[in-house]
Amino acid sequence: MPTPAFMHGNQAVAEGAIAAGCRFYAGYPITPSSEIAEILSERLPQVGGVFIQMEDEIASMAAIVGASLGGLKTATATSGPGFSLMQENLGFAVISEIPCVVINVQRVGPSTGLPTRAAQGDVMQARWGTHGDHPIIVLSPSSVQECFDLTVRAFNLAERFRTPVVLLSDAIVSALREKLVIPDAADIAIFNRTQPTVAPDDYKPYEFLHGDVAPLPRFGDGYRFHVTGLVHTELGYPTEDAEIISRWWEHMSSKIEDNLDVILDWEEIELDDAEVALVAYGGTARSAMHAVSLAREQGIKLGMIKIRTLWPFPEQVIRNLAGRVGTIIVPELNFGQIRLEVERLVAGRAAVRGINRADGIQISPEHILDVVRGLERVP
Amino acid sequence: MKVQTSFIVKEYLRPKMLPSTWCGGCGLGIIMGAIAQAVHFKGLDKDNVAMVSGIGCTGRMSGYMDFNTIHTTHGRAPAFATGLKMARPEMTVLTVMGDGDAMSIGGNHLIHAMRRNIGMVAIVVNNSVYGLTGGQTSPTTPIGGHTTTAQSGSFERPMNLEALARTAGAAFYARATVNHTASLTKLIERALDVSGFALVEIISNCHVLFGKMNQMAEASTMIAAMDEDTWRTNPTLLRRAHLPIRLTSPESPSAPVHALTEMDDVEDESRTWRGVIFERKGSVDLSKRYYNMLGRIREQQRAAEEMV
Ligand SMILES: Cc1ncc(C[n+]2csc(CCOP(=O)(O)OP(=O)(O)O)c2C)c(N)n1
Ligand code: SF4
Ligand SMILES: [Mg+2]
Repeated sequence: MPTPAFMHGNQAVAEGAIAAGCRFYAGYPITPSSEIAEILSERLPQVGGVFIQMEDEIASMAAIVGASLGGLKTATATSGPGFSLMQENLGFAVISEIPCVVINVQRVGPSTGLPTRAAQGDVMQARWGTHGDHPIIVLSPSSVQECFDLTVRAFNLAERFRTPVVLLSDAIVSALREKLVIPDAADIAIFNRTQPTVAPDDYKPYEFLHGDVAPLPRFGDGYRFHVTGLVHTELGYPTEDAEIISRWWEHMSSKIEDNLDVILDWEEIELDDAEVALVAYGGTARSAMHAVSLAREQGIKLGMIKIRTLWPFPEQVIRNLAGRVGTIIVPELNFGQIRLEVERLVAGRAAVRGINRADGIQISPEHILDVVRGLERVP
Repeated sequence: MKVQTSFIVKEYLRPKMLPSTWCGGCGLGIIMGAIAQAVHFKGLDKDNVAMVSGIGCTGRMSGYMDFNTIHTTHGRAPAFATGLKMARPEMTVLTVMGDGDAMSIGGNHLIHAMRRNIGMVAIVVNNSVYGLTGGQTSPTTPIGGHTTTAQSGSFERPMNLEALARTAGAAFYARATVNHTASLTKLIERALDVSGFALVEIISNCHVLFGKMNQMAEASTMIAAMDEDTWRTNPTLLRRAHLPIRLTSPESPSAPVHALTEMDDVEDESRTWRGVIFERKGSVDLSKRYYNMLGRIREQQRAAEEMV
């Protein structure tokens, strides 16, 4: 029987992690993410898992990569300042293709910023925070139910594509208490990294597969492979051979780009007859959804797209949207990080407007509705 | 006792990764051989051994050795290794770091790995310099030592790793040199017996950079100096903690020392001890303690289930 429950977003993330099979957590406390650590420090030992509080976020990120090589599903949670510290070893997880989940409960930055106030200012850091070009998957929940569901999905995608996955939560959804339904364990789809079937001598830990990844055995299972942050061959050995490097890049980008059908996740709301569309994600999507229902009550043809996979960005969805509505409005708690992406894709085929604030105050549904109404008055 | 080099190469190294990128005569080759010998004499199964290294000339070692290996980021090896050891407590974890790796950028991770007493053998290769990046000052560069970033001689006080390890809570500390190879292997073997954090500091030579800038351009000169500058530990003679080894040229012992010798609050120890410096009796590895705790929680859960 699916269990109805009532909890806050951080708790749903913690429970989602347990349900997904996470058995190792390393972290360093920071508001507004600390409840995730606190809850997991109790829950993980109950299921035979490891909880360890590290000396900082650099070490936390390192520890979850080390433990993932030990065969466990691993996660860490943090907020802005800690997320900045994680970038170095997040890049290591990317290049060494080690599955792990990084939860960033966004608050206002930069630096210590507004520690308890919600923001969405880390969208671009989640995409490009570590140095160098790289693929990454970033998910963004907008409800307590999605905190649970997307955490499970984050682990599945990490295991499936041997990549770190960032769950970009925010101080709106993390503290929000609402109902959710926890499915029966048997009904939760779980993906575990594949295991090699070849003999150790034939195993290539980094085989440059197109649109796919090599199996990943645990350390200690007899495969004795090498893991490095240097660009490497299919065996994991460092290389400076341009031909090999180009095949490696091809593998790294195609494992994400060729699987957009699996990775992308968005929802269309009241879009069929819409003349104006909102594009929203995370905590702000809640106000946007509310604004849509208010608008509909008043006969305004407003629809919306709620984005749950932020990176890779659902580019085709936005391109198509440009042909369907005259105006696209992007409300977000930053100065337009996703709006710029939308403008790039719309390429002038629709008007694009942002509703932006980064003062720790949420964007209200009324504010969004005012902007929509203002559009109508424009001849 | 020593096994044939050809046997070590065949059994413990990765032929596709060789030759190494290390300079001829670099002490790192000797250290890698000693680690292989120690693992061999201990009869450890390679499948059950992990080597986690940082970044530097020293950090390159994990690529050459046929274990489960991670060449991590600069300074972070103890943190990666902590995660691995907590996930796989039955594995033998060797964490290999350079002096800059371990004491500068990774200092905090090292301190906390020692405080937690997490089960691993930490090998710190102390060559008094940043080798890989071209001979810059490291946290163990002796006062007066010339480096590419201390052209008039280093004027900073070097790190006392031994004292740090003692206060942070390491279970075991030994110091070896690449000159004294038999005891080097023995000390790594001893460290492998420890439950908890066992640190082996190995004095090595970077003759092409540090040596060259300090009138010891030959590997042999530098290695010989290690005999001059170190004493074997004698249990009755163990003195207070010392500064890291001061490598002075045997031909002109005072040659590198002309910068800031007026820094009079610095102990001037010309010799330092090698051997087992300290060992805490009754030490238990953190991962073992953690899994014991999990066992107790599981028992409580069973008892509670039975009540129901
Ligand atoms: C974050 C970061 N900063 C700087 C470097 C550049 N770097 C690579 S190795 C190294 C120092 C190596 O010195 P040491 O740890 O003593 O190792 P050795 O080469 O002497 O064995 C530095 C500064 C780096 N790789 N990463
Ligand atoms: S630069 Fe120095 S430490 Fe590095 S390999 Fe050469 S001799 Fe060894
Ligand atoms: Mg060094």
